[in-house]
Amino acid sequence: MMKAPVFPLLVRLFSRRFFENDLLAPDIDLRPTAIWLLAALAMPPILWTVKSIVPYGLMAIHGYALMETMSWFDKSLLMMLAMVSAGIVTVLSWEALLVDRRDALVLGALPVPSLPIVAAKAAAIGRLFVVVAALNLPAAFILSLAVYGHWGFFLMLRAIAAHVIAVTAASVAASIALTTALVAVTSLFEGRWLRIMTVAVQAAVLAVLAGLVIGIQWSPALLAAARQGDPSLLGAVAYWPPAWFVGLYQQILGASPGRDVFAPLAERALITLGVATLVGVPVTLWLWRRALSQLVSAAAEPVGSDLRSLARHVPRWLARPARDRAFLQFFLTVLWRSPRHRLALLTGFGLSAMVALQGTLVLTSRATVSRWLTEFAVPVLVLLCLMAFLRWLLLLPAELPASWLLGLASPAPGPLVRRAVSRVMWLLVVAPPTVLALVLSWWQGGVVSALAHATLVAAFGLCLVERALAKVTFMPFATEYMPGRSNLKARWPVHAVVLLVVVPTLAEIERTLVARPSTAFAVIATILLAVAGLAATNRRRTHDLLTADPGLGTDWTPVQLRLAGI
Amino acid sequence: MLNLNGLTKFYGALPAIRDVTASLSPGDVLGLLGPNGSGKSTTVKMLVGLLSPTRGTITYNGQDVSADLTAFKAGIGYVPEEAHLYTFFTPPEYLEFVGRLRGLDQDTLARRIDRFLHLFNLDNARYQPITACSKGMRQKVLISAALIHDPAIVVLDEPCSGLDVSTTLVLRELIEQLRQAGKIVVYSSHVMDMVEKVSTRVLIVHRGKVVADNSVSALRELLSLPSLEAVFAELTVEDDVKVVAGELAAAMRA
Repeated sequence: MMKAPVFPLLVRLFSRRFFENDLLAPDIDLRPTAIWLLAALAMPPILWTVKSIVPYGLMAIHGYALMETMSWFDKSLLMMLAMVSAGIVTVLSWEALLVDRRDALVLGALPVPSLPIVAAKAAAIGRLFVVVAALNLPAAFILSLAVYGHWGFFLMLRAIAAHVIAVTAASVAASIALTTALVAVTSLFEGRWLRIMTVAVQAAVLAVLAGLVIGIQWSPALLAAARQGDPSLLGAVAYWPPAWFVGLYQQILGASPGRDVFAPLAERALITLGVATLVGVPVTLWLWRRALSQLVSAAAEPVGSDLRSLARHVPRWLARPARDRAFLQFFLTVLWRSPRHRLALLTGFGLSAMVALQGTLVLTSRATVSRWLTEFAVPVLVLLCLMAFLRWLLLLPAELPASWLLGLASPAPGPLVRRAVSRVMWLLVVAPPTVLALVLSWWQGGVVSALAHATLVAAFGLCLVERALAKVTFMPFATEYMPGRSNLKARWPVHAVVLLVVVPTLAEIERTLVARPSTAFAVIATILLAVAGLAATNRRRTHDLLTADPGLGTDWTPVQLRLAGI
Repeated sequence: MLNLNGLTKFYGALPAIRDVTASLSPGDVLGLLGPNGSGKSTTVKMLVGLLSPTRGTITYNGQDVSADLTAFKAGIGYVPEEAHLYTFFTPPEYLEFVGRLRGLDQDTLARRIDRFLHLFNLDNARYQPITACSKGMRQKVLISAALIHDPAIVVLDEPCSGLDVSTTLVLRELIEQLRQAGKIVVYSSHVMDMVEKVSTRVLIVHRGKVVADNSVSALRELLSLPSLEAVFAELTVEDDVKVVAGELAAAMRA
């Protein structure tokens, strides 16, 4: 006759929310996917440190000091990976980190004070952060064994402790900082400002994660500064958070080389961790508690006028018939208003911007470092990156219970949908790399070269769009996401090889063609003919996307069949 | 005895409900009526402790409930208007979760869950997550969760939403039996027929103010009208229904 304690129940409830996703069919268990994701995040540091065992073994004859110095880069890399992993998990858990209206209405009506609720929420999220931090432990053991195993058992133990503390601090500080930022934005803003601020935070989070990754190229400055014991040589790396936690590692280890440089870095790490825990945690708890009482009376989010006008006006020149405009308006509005879609779209554009920026920097320096970063390869890379993201985005549902409305757009909305999707792809996938190609080639080779290159990229983009449309056999944003149906798991090596072969090859072909404009325009004409052929084939596919599903196999469960209305 | 004393709620500067006063004894069934946006749900949410009033108090057995809101909530069963549920639970898991948070022991809880699922014909839904349940099944889960701890006060906000006819009839009879058992029942709905049949008293709110508070029969007599629907229309419907309907039909062809 034992009464169940409330706190563990609530912790279990909030922990289960990490595996809740309204995108998926109800019988899909996300736990195996989560385990795969955690394993994937644990692998890079393990592989990197295993790869380092032999080089460190060979280096041992040169003495302790050299090994210690050489390990700084590895430590920087591992701290960076720990922080990026924490960031990725935090971003993927985005919705589970918040107290939502459902929590307020369900738990608020029960005889449970708000304090145990927010404490349980914190405990559930804290548990996740500890698991994510623990992903770095194997690498801590391996690196400590490889570097310090030769120099005494106690030094090795101390190195393990230093690594574990530093990497856990880095991971937890990153997770708490991101969570606090997210909770603050979603709690303190409403309506139009909420949307604007969410976009800003999403973009900032992606920029921070990208900055952490890009910052690894500054680590030589850390090594140089530490070798010479001169903090003034640090430069930009002084503002790169993983370096702060390398400093913490070195301070705990008590190693003498570079102490003058590592001590101030360690101070920054401690300040970051202190601010995150002493400010971030109480603020987050307070905001959750506030949300529990305020969300009950929350009115529907009023929308601003910014995209309302875009969604209404863009279709006027992109799609004239009313029903074409309706679908285009639906797609554009989902991409802007659904936070999940916006985040994925921002990620795609963010990665593309990184490629474009890196390419431009290389072109500015006139250094031939990679055939991937020429004025011909960069637009193609951007095009493929945007296409991959948008194609995946189409699979993510936005407002499933409202999908019936799209089924009423009779007769068969298939051609209408494909037309609308093609317009969205022209806008978001083809236009940006075409403009990029025009600008890069103008700058590098002049007007004729720019026009030829931009036209080639646009033609290639249109070809890709038509190819992608052939695979649109579902209603975008309105069908349940079923990861089991994706063939990406089996085909990713093919895609990777194609990417490795296509981008440089295409870039070389373009380089040759741009030098001979007459041949270039003949090739463009041929591509456009292929586009026309593909478009004609796509137009003949008239079946209703909501009911016909050529991918339907015998492995569907009864629940999935029922949900699909079959 | 449950007393609402001058309950007032403002959302910012916007008044949602003003000076709602009512007194309920065990065995009372209060029908709460009002047009959309009249303040019914706000009143209900204040009553169950989800919202705190801007002014006014709620007392239960002479005690101000805000002094120990958690203890007050322990005696309330609430079916919300919106079917907010943790949909990753199965129906028995959800009931178990709610029952545990309400402090029920495991044996009692298991027994009651089995009975509720069986009586609401949810046996077949035992092993499927609530996300795969129909609207009516979700409503049955919500009603079960509201009653599983044998509350002294039952607050039902549009409880028949999505329910089939037979379950609606069962619910109507259940409310009568709860009344006879000495429970206080608050029933908020737009379905006049149901409110007329189950309520011992009716509170009609309009534009955030109470415009009527009496028994159905007394209201009918007072206004010399044949039904509660006619009373409601007399007190709250300001537009000429036929004219508005005609204009809507014309708007379809505009």
